Amino acid sequence: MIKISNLSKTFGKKSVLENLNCNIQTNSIYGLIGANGAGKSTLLRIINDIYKKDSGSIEIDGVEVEDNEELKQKLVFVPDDLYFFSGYTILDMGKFYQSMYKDFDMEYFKKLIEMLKLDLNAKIQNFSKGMKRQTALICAISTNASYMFFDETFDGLDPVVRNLMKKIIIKQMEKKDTTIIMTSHNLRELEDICDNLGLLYKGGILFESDINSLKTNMFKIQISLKEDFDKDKFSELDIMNYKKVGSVATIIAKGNKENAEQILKNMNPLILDFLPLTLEEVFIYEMEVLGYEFNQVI
Amino acid sequence: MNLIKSFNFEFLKENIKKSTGLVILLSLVVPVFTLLVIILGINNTENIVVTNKTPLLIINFIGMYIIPVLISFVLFGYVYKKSSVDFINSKPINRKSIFITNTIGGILLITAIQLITAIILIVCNFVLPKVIIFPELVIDIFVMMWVSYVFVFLATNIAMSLSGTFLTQIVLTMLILFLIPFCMDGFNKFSRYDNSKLSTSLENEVNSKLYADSDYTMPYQVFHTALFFNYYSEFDWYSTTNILKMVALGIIYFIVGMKLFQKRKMENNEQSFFNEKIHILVKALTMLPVFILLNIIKAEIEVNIFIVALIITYYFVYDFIVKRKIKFRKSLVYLVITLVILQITCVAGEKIRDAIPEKIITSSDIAEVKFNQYNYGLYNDNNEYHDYIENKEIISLLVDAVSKYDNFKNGVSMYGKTVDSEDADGTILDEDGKAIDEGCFLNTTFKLKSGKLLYGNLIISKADMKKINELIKQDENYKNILKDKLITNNKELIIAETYILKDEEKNQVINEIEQTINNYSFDELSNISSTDGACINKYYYKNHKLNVISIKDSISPKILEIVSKYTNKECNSIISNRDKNWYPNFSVIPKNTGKRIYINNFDNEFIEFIKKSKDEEFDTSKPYYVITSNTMGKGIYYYTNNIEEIDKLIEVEMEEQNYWENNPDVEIKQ
Repeated sequence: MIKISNLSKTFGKKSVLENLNCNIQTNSIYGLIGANGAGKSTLLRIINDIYKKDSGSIEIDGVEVEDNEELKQKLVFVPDDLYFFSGYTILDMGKFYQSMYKDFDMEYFKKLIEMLKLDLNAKIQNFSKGMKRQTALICAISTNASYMFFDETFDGLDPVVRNLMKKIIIKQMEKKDTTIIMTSHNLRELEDICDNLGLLYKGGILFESDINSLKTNMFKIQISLKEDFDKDKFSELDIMNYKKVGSVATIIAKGNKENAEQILKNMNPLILDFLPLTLEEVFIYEMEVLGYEFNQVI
Repeated sequence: MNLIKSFNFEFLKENIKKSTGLVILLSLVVPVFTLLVIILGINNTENIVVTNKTPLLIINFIGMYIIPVLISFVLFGYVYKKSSVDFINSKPINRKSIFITNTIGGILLITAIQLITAIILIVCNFVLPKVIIFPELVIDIFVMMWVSYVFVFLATNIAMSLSGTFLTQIVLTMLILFLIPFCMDGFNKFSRYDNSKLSTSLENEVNSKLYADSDYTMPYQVFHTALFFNYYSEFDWYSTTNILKMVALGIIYFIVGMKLFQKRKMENNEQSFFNEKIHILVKALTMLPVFILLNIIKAEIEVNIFIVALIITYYFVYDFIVKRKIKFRKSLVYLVITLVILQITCVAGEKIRDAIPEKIITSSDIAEVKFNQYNYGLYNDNNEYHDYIENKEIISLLVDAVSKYDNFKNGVSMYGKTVDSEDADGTILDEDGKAIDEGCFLNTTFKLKSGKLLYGNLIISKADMKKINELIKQDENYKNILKDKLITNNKELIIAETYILKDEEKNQVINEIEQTINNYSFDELSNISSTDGACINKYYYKNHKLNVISIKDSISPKILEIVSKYTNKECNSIISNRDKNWYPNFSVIPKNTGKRIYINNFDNEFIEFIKKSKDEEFDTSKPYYVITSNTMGKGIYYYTNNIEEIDKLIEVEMEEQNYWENNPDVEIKQ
């Protein structure tokens, strides 16, 4: 488990993280979203002991991260801005990771390279952005580290490779009880892979929840009744958003979907549809409740 | 133990592997160019080259300012880019280990560079027949350059830990290496000269003063020597104090560098310093040397205005280059503050210097004294017989002379006389410029009881010079020193700079000297090198210096036999293979008069004579002449007992030259 308490970091006079608190459970995929400059990459860099924190603490499995070489064997980080040694081939890079990580699995590494149809002996400097991303992710996954941190994970990957990579990540998580923390400023990228999501805004976690409950607890209803009605008609529901156009109302509600369905059916509606919400929509409404404009936050 | 524990070989291997090409280039550049210097050196001469430090150090000195800095950039260069900082620091290796691993890696690379250079020098000594490089010299070069390179490397590592751009790291490295000694030089040395003649007055100003050798660290010492080198210094590159200073500072730099690296803000990449105040401080420090110079020179107001304008321009240009932006208004405020603080610093520095009382050296502070000999345009203790002596009388006589005379007119040469010369070639003047005595310069080195050396060209009156000579002749220790020089340390003996004696011949020469040396008078000992024949130069390496002492060919029949055997053979060989256009310009030295006769018109007759006498045996017990010439810097010597025939040739030559009347004393004494 990663436990972050009162973490603060400033760059010069600019505060990037301010008293950030967050707990990330083991064996889960945690998505960290936020606008550009929200502090996602900085948070990952501090967790990985690249940047020094100004105050607060970060504990992984109960141990402080800073300057802890042993603990860092359990962590692997793929930054947004990728770096490879000049002139290195994929195999050279694999060997470098093997020299650094005790649990690096060279066989698995080669298998993944083959699966992604990359040339083991090709020089990385000649690769496209997507191929470089694949190489970096494969190197990281093959370390078998318990905690993997991927910044802008799927940046530059085409949809096919992106899906394949997601499968590889999920498999890795299942295989080794790995905890994966990935960041993105694009919610759609994370919604089908993450178990939990945290929204970083102005140096702190603004909102945090597991995706299943987020999605199942919130639903969109389209309803039309014989008689005229307004929002008060649905006072039994936990309404987050209500809009009525003509005789059809669109309601975003929270709570138990079955209960809500039963209540609404009892009103003998002319139209009653329960529509799925995208994660982005869930976030928009959650932000609205908290008093934020979604566009400001992401 | 902690260092070894923190050393991560795998990390180092990969860190070096990523820059294999550059690392190989850096490792080979010094050894290869040093080899080239040696090869070029032997191509320019026909003689045996006994290599001293300076030619072997030229490339190493240039490399000292570049290679350790580049090694540091290779190993720590990742700190420039966010991507590489992320990549390296996220790996399971902590900062202390990274620093220690890279530092040890850099030191190993430097060791490899110096080892390869040392091996090349030793191989040259064995493979190139014309080159002699003493192993002790190779060890000295290895030690001094290894320490110097590591020192520069450790200083650069501090800059790496502090700064985030290539340029500011270079600036910071230079400040660490040069700022403090330059300021010390600035306050102490520059200001001792007439301000208006800063560059031209050096030689004239030092004549009657004593100078102390400076013990700066090597990177600054090279710069300092280039700036202040004068003929009076007996500075030799090898300095134990210098080395120890670098070792001590190196340890401090290592610890400071490591602590700074551990605390380094890794987000500080692609910008000069994370803290704006440090940026301003560093910029101000780069301006301090110019300010010190300005204060010392005390130039015309126009020059000052011009330089201040340059400083102001530099202040903004520095920001533009380093930070790629200029905050004009803010910088202007800082500039004014900086200028005021720098001026206060310079004035305060001068006041502090003036407040420190000058140490007056008395004879009780001096342990030993040595007289130096002017040789080939430089004062050195290579080709000489003198060494340190403890004679209190001589010391006090010389110390008195330091304060006695200030004004001297020298019509012949500004260089000092050797101690055994009693000729006064100048006039000592009083304050009004009136002649008060005959005198000369005497180049002297005092070794203080503290170990420090003071050297200078002292003005000595003719009477004092005579007194010193008498005291030296009575000094038994001095005589023993001369004997020691001749007998011990028999390393390499070379005849006429062209033939290296074999071990057997070498032993014969030394045995011969050993057996006869006690019969020599002081004058004979000190005149042992005064020869016009083919002397044997004895080279040896002692006290980290290459020494050479010349042994007269006529010192004993055995030595004469060894010398003549070789030179006659060599002369015959040269003459039989000579070029048709060769004009040997022979001269003849009739033993024992020593008066050389120059042959201008009958060289061919002499050539024929040598060819004809090819099979003649030279008898050392009979009177002899030496026919000598110099071709392409190579001495030719032909020893012959056939003095009658040579006399006839000389006679014709003299007639031709109409020289006979002017040299009536050319005759043979048997």
